[in-house]
Amino acid sequence: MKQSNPKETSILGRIRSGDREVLIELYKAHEKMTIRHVINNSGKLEDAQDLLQEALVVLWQNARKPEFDLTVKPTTYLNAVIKNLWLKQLSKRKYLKDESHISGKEVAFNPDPVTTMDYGLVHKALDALGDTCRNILMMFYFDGFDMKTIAEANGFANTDVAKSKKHQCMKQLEAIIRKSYNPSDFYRDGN
Amino acid sequence: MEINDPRIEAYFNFELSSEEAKAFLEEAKKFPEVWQEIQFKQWMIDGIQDEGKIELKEFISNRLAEEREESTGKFWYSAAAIAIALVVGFGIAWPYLNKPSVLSEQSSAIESAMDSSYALDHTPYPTKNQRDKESADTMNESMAVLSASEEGEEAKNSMELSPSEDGIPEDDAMMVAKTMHAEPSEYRKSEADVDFKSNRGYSDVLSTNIHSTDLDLKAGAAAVGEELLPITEFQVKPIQARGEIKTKELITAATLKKSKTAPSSENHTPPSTNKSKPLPTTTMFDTVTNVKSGEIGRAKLKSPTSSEDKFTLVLSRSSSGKPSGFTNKTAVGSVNYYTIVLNNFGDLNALIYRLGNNYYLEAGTQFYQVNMQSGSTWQPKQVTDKSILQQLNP
Repeated sequence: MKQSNPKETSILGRIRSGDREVLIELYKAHEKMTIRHVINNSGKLEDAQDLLQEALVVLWQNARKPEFDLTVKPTTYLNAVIKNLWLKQLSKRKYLKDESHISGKEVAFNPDPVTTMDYGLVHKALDALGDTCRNILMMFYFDGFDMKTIAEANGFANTDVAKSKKHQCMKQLEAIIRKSYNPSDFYRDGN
Repeated sequence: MEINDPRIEAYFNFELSSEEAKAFLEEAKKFPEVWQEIQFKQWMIDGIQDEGKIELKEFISNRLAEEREESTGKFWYSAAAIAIALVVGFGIAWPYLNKPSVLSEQSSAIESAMDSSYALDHTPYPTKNQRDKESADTMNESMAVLSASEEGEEAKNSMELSPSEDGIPEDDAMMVAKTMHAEPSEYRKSEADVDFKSNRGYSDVLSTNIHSTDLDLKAGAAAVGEELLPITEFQVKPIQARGEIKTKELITAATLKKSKTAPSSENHTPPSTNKSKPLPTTTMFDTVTNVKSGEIGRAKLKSPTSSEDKFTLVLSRSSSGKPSGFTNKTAVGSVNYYTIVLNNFGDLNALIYRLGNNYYLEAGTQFYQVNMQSGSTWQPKQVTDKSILQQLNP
């Protein structure tokens, strides 16, 4: 029976427990490889640094997803993420280069919905929220912690309280945004 | 489908299976109002995730920058320490480097004493070359010199020759001449005497180091009106470094102000204006111990509670200069070990208080709420609520 490397196992365990320091260790371990890969594939040093951070964010978020079943070592997974993200970047750059002959007006009418989405309004609203609410929403929607962990971390009696609090916080965030902005401004066509 | 359809909430709580979610979205698209609501909520969640990504990237960048600063700082501290050690060492060694070595001192002193003894018995005083030659010459030549000295007047004339003429250094010539012919009261004021005095140390060294020789130093010294002084043993004392070179400025927690919390009671209930609604317990932490490099210190829970949380406060600086905090929690058994990193809070004394389930940081003269969520980076939010402030700082 194949035994997993305890160091590798602990990486995932540490990510799942919310230990961000492990990301620094992973960054250092993959820095040289990422730089080499990016520079050898039409990139720059800054691209490599951004890419590695992005890959770590992906690992951080995915590691806590229930469906996330890692069949390889986290470091192998991270290498794969780095390479895939860089391929995407290159494809995007190539696409933009190929479309450069299109006039500015045409580009403006065909915006990339992902890149043009402005989250500044949400960021401001989050800053206006209380710390507890902000944490609950971040823990749930970004970190992907379950309600039990959120309840423990925030000192709630049980998961029901945490869930109710999360609901209130989301309503609060929505109210702050709606107070100043029209939601129709952010409507995206479902097609 | 209505806008208050419970499936909307379930969808955003990730409570629907992938098939259910897919079906729900397909159905929702048919209802513009519902679809718009879903899009709006999705945009909010995307915004939350975007904020999280930014924070996490900032955390990585800041931590790496700190480590680089720290390693650069370590290099410069090491360089500075070496430079200081060299300067101090050189400063200590300088008087000895500037003087002839002990051996050369001894040989000079021996030579000087021999010259003095020689001068008592020999006239005229020969040059070094002459002395060297003499040592190689035969006894007859020495005798010739001695016989020449007996001629008295000639010898005296020879002594009064300009030093530059016979090659004898002026000071030596003066000294020897006066040793032989002048009254002590005359040459005591002379430059030669001053030089001789300044060489007392050599005579002192000589007095202890060449006792075994047959040279009558005392007689020589007496001849020039000098007194041989006892020599002090030379001792090498190690330079003791005080403290250690620290890689970062260390801050220690302030001693707990007894007036802030009740020191006698384990669980102190601060005075409250609202008697009908008792305020939560204030828990205070012990003063800091085990200060390590870069840490403010280790704050220990003073009042035992069910959780017995333990804290490590870490002072940190980042290039952004923006104050922020980072909390990390590790649970070992029933004990939670919190590490709270305070970025760019400046030089401060820090204490942590607990009111109910909330934790507060006293930094400087201000109180801030501490975000206890593990893995969270937080912005310091000053406590303005008067009732909380009253409990924290009654």
